[in-house]
Amino acid sequence: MFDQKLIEECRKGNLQNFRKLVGIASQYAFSVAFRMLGDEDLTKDIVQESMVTVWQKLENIGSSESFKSWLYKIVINKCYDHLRKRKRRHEFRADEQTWAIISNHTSSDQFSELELKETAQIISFLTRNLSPKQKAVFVLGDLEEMTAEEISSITGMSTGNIKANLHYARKKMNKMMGKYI
Amino acid sequence: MMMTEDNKLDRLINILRESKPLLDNPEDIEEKVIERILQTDKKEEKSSDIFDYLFSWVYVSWVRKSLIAASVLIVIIFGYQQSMILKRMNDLAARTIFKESLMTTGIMGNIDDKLLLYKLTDRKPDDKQVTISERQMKRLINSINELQLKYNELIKLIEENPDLKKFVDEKMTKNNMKKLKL
Repeated sequence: MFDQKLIEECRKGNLQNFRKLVGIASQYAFSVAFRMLGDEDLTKDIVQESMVTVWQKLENIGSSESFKSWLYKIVINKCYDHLRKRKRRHEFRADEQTWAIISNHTSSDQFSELELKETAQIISFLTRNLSPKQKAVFVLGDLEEMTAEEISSITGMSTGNIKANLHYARKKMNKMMGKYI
Repeated sequence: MMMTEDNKLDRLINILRESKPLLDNPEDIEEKVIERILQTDKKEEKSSDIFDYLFSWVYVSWVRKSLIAASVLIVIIFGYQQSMILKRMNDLAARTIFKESLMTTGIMGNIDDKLLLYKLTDRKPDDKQVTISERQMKRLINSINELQLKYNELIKLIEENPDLKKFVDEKMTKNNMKKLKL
């Protein structure tokens, strides 16, 4: 996934190679950050900030094998910071458009890929009542398909805590589904 | 068949999982990231230039950083000490000026203060009248007596030892010759 030689070159301060690394890593960073924040422009800013942090702290990374979880750690922390700032919570009103998207995709047997805007709307609806930690565990575990151990190395939470958070997150999302749809 | 909420959620999660958000223009991010890095590097360059010049002979990163930290600390301590010394000197000068002004205006006639001023400025007070207390007078007489006793003891010691007497005589003659030359 991430070329170890490329990472080693970047650690030596090779900016040209870092540009290549940004090209690869920014896709992963974008996927997680977008699922956490649901705003394309904001996600792009977070990705940029994260990549600058990666460059500044690249020499502190223990081994190049752990680069992926280290990258996710930086991105998730930046998303946490942003979610903490954006504390205001409004009572969610599932508008007809979101309802239509969800029912359209869940009723038909055929899989059709969601657009970015649709993804943002659905995640925003589902995770409305989740804490930032529960949201991170849901995004990393259920959507990015990471193991509890991987999530633990990114968030610093214990595996037991991760499983509990994921359980409560699903419970809350089920409740949302039943309440509005 | 009606789907349960669990099934609906699982299906929705599955759709979300499969619909991976993709960055439409990664080149744009690459460009902006490199630009930001270069801008930050330029800012850092100015401050790190002097340290690079001073510690370029150290190749181990942590040793270089420790030396930089130590040098910054030493400069701070040096600056603090200098400011403290300057402050004390200013205080002393202010005190001397204050005492001198008291003496010239005739407010201060204390012999201790006058002696202190004489020590500091090497200038004899102009006034002919000196106020001295009985206690100070006793202290002065005692000190003169003590000095007299010590002087007598010293003379006795020199007289008893011919070598020492010879040495002292030679030194005294030398000193007198120097004074005459001047």
